[in-house]
Formats: sequence, C-alpha cells, structure tokens
Amino acid sequence: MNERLKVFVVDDHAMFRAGIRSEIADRVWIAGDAGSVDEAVEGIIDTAPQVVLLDVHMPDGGGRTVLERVRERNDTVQFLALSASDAAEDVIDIIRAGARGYVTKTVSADELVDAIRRVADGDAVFSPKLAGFVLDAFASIPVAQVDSDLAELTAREREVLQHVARGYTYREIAERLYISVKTVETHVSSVLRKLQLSNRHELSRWAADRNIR
Amino acid sequence: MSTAEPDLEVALRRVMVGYRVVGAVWLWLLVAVVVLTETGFNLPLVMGAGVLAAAWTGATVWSSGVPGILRTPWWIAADVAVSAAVIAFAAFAGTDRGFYGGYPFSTVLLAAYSGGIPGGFVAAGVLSVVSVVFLGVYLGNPGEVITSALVYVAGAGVSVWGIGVIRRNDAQRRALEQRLASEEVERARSQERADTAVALHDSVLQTLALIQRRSDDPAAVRSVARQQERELRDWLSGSRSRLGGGTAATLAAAIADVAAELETRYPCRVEVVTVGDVALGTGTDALVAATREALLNVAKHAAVQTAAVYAEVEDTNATVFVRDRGAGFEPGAVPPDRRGISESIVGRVRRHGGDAVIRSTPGAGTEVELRIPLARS
Repeated sequence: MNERLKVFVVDDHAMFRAGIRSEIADRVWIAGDAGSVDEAVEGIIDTAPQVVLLDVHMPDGGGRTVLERVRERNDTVQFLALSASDAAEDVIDIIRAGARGYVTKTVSADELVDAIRRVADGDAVFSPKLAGFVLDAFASIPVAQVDSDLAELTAREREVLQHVARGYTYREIAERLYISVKTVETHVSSVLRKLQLSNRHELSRWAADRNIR
Repeated sequence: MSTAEPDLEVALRRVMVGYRVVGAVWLWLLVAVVVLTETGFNLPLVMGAGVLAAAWTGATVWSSGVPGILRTPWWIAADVAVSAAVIAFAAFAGTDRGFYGGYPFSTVLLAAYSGGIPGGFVAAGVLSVVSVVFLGVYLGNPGEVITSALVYVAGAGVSVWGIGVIRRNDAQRRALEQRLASEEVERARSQERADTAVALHDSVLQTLALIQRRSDDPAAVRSVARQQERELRDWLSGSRSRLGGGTAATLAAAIADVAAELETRYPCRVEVVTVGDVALGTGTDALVAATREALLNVAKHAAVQTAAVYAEVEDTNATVFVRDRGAGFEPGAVPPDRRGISESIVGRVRRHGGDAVIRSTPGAGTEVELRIPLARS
C-alpha cells in the first residue's frame, strides 16, 4: 500500500530540481530529472514514470512541447504543471495540452505530494489560481455563443470552482456543499475535460485576447 | 431683483392669455353672425365692440411679456372696463346675442388669476351690474341678465378655487423638493464624515499601532511615520483622493496592491485570485478598502502565515472573499468600540449599497465575504 509513486522532474533550473528532490524524495520515487526539452522527452520515455512535474516555462518551446512529444509515444504518463509565474495564458495553455493540474512553485511539500498522488489517480488538481483562470475563461464567453454542453460550466461546477478559488480544499468543499469528496473530484475532472476537449471558438478567442495560441 | 417666477405661474398666465385670444375670436364670430342674420342693428357699434376687444387682446398678449404688469390693480380695472364697454356697445347697437359670454368671461378668468378672490369677484360683480344695466334695464331682457351674472359669478368662484388649489399643490411640491435637497446635502455630509473617520482609522491609527509594535527599531518607526505624514498631508491638501490607497485603476490591480502592501508590512503571504475586472469607482474603492481591512485583521489576529483573497466581478456586482485558517473568533463577542470590523468592513460596504458577511469559528479560521453592486452601462 505504501508503494512510492514514480516521478520525473522537468525544470530548466538545476537549483529547483535539487530543491524538489530534497523536499519530497522521501515520499515519492524521483526516477529522473531533466533541464531541456529533448533531454526531458528521452528521459520520460526511458523511465516511464507515473507523474511528470513539468515546468511551464522552458526554453526551446516550453513545457507544452515536452507534453506533446511524450504523448505521441506514451499516453499513460500524467503531467502536473508547475510554474513560478501566474500568467493565465501559460497555465491554460499547458492544461489544454493535457496536463492534469497546476500548482505554483510556492506550494508546500505536503501539498505537492498530495497533488502528485491525485494526478496519479487520474484526478484533476486545481489550485486556487487555476480555478480562477478557468472561471475567467468560461465567464468571458458570451451566453449567445454557447453552442454545446462543453462550452458552459454547470452551476454546481462553477460553485465548486469558486470554492477552490477561495482557498478551500476538496474535503472542505465537500463538507460545505454536503456532497462527497469523490463528487467534488468528479466536478473538477469534468471541468478539466471541458477545458481540454471543447475545441471552441469562444475559448480560442479568450486565448487570443490574452495572446495564447 | 425678485426670484425667478415659478414655472406654474408662467403656465397659468399662458392659459389665461390663450383664453383671452379664444374669447376675442369668439366675439368676432358673433359679430359675423349678427351682421349676416339680423336686421335693425347699428353696424358701427357692433364693429366697434369687435375692434375694441381685438385691440385689447393685442395689448394683453403684449403685456403678458412684461413681468407682473397683468397683476397690477389698474390693469385689472382697465380689463374690466374694456369688457364692460363691449357689453354696452352690443346693447346700444340693439343686439342681445350673447356678447357677455366669450370675451367678457375671459376678464373674469384673468382677474381671478391676477387678483385672487377679491380680483375675481370684483370683476364678476362689476360685469354683472353692467349686464343688469344694459341687458336688463336698457334692452329689457331679464333672462339674459340672470344667465350672464351666473356665468360671471360661478366662473369667478370656480377659477379662484381651481387656481388656488393648483398654486397650493405647487407650493407644497416645491417645499418638499427643497426639503429633500437639503436632506440630501445633509446625508452626503454625514457620509463624508463617516468616510473620513474610516480613512483615519485605516491609515493613521494603523500606522500608530505599527509604530508601537516596532518601537525597538527607530529606523523603521521613522520611515513609517514619514510615509504616513506624507500621505496625510497629500490627503488634507486634496491631491490624494483616499488615505491608505494606491494608484491602481482597476479592482484586480488594486487588490493585488493591497495584498502586496500587506506582505511587505506583515510576515503573511496572500494568495490572490481574481476573475473578471472592472474600473475602480466609489463603490469598488470601498470594496478594496474593506478587503484591506479584512486582510489586516488576518495579519494581526489570525496568527497564520497565509491568507486567500478571491475577487470576482460579475455583471451586477463585485464580490471579494478573504479567508484564513487561523485562530478565528466568536463573531458575536467583538466589543462595539473596536471599529475594525463594524465600521471599516461592514459599515463601509453597506454605505455603498453592498453587504458583508463574516463567518468565523474559533480555531477553524475566518472568511469575510464582501459584495458591492456595480452600476454598469
């Protein structure tokens, strides 16, 4: 039961990789790390980790390139995005490309390990920031242009995301809304799916407004 | 120089002068009827009545442009004399065809408008006497006398009463408007007083508290005091719109500033998430100030290293949640003389039409929910 998760760290700052290692290596198995896109793709394919901690800001095309090139050859590994910046465009971009969650680099070691476990289980990890970005993205779509279920959040999904944005944990949200933690996770995963699957003009426009491709 | 004439008086005078013109036209129609259908009358006298009425009507229209002239006693007297002359001319001309009705009646109306009860009834009385003399005695037609006297007296009564009611209502309405205006001024003044008290609480008192806490560090105290002094001077001279505020133009930027300010002053990290944005106005200024106050409470009382701020701008309102997982408190147990929560947070947003809800559990942290309505075009 106490089996350690296999994790790969991608970040162009050696200092940060070392920091992560020292903070969480006793609780997860860090199978490798890399500081460039090519190195990262090869390393991930070779070690086949369960979770990749992926820096959003990388030279040579960034974290998104790593994610896309790995996906071509391995579709079981999960990605958890990490970033020092809180720029909405970078974060939404990497989530749309397939990352299962996003945490800021200031996150505590406990929270990071918890996020890694969730992502490995196939759940979505929404930090308050990410919840805010997603609410912003969906809120900016004019109602008239909503043409499918994917383009809109349900009232419950919105409520859950607002609570995440307000800093509540999934457990606290479950207690406040009288639902199970599993249901909270389901709502969050559903939001993530809408974000990734909906190939919507509206979201594209939201992205274009913020210089996201 | 008298004060400007009320709109009502202008309108009433227009109605009176308008009726005078209608009366003159009516008189000329009667003249035409007499000339075309009757025989045995004196043509020059009938025409004279018409010309006299037309000339005086022109004089009335011209006089109505001169302030106050219609309301002088001599003008009313002249008006009555002209109508009396019109009745007399008709009688001398040998026709009793209702000349007393249209034009002379406009004299009763004008007199009631200009001279109130005395003016209206004196005019009606004089014209009735004239009718008795010329229609009754001279023409020998008592039926016409009764009709004309009734028309004049009843007309004077109804007009005096109606105009009086209209004038009283208008005076009441204007008095009410004046009172509302002065109440509005008073309300604005008391709101300004409250805003000033809150501004001083947020800036000066906070700085004094900070100085006490850091009294062991003279350099820090000096710098805090200097900054406060500069801010206060700017505010007093009017070159700064609010105390303790920043230069941000939008809600999201202002909240980010507030969070940054708190992080530099206290060992507390503030996670800020904003959804949507709006330009700052008086309401959102209050929202930002209340947010700042809520964060200061977290920094000072909650004993935690992190606070979360979530701000969301929707079509009709802006909402801010300030949350910590700190000590919490019993919301009912805050002494009333501590202005922090009641004035700087709750009172502040309520004064701008918003609301504040504070949820706190001892040991489990506090969440302050602030909401301000937005007036969007």
